[in-house]
Amino acid sequence: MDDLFFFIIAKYNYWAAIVLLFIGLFGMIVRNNLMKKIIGMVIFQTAILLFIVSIGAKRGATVPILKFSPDKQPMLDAATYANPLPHVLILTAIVVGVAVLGVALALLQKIQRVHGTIEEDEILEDMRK
Amino acid sequence: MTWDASLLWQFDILILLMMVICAVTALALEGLLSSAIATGVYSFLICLMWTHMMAVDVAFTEAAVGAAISTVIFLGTAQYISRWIKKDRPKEQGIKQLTLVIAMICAGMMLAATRDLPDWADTASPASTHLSPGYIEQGYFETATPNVVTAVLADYRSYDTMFEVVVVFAAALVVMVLLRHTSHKHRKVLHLRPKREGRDTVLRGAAQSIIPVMQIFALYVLFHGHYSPGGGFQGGVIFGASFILLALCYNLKFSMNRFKEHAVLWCCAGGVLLYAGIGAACLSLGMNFLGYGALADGLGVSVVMARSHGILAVEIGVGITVMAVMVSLYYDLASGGDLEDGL
Repeated sequence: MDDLFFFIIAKYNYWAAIVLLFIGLFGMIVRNNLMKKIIGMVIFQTAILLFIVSIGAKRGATVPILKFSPDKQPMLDAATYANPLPHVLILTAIVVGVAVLGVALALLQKIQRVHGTIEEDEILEDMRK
Repeated sequence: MTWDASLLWQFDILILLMMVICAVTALALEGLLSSAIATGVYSFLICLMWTHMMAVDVAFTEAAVGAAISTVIFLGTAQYISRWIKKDRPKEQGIKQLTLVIAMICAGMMLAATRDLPDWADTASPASTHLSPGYIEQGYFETATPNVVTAVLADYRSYDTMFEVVVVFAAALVVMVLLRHTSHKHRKVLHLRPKREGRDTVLRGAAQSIIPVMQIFALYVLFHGHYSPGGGFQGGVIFGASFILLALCYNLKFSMNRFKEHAVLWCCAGGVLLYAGIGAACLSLGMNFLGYGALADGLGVSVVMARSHGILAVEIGVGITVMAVMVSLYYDLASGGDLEDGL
């Protein structure tokens, strides 16, 4: 029983990331509405980000900002700070993510203007005419 | 193996479950506005998750970008589009079952593969034992910046950050090129919308008192990024959000009178130029591109302090570009590109 418990505790973050990844992918493939496809893309993206940040987490560690001892010396035990590298990569990825979202929504508005709809099947019909 | 009680795994699992529910809700709902709100809730939840994994800088960025700006531009697009949307669509047909089966098989394989990954929050995992201890142990002595994330972002990996800023800049240009139109065909449609002349006294009063505080806070976040969570990205987004709040509470024109479009464009380009210019200055002083140590003689400080000042300078560049890009994205997306009337 304890083994199972520790197994779940050790992996649940990865599982959540994978489940979210496939919810996003499924939404992107199945939904007809292009706005829903974009939301699927956002969920897919955050699932990957969640996975990468999970890799950088450390048990019992604090935020990666150095603490100082009373005599003004930094405390440099690497095991007590979370891994800063995934944080840096994800921080910039989030901002680039919103830029990508902006471009996607701009394309969406353009499609709406040209075809008069954002439903995939109706756009295809309109293009065949 | 033991686990640390302070990890609060029950809390984690609760948040992750709520995230899955929000993701499914956002995709399953029919209305565009309600989907956009569900996505915003999802962002706030993942923000909690990141705080809990001690990624405070990431959580800060997510709260400002994912939960605030993304939701606003989603809503802007949704209200622009839903004026044309037909209500009585037939129920969606499709390849649902087949996709579901394939997705579940792939997910099952990936879930099985997690057995080979290091345990979550394992201090001895490969990711945490090779490169990152070097940043933590030497970062302070090389850059005089206690916030390791800021030091890595703007010094060790500053090429990376510079091109991320270029990507953000390019995205703002793409949105502008895609949406800006001068033909009068569409303008007629847009003018059908009733002009919003409501007297939102409470909203406007609240905005008037909160916007100056927001802007000061944004500057604090930017300039204090060496010592606390924050930096150019977060500060820039918060500063941009103050103009978006102005546009939401009054109207688009009101905000655009204070921050004109050509000023926005100048800021977009100016931040990138400042960043690249500092890199070029280092190059011309005989060091590598973005090797801030070259500025030591010019500033009259030690090499370590020069790197600290260099980080601050490029963070200001990042902040200016990100602020202008967020405002530009809002202006274009909320008004459908004609900049007449927005959300």
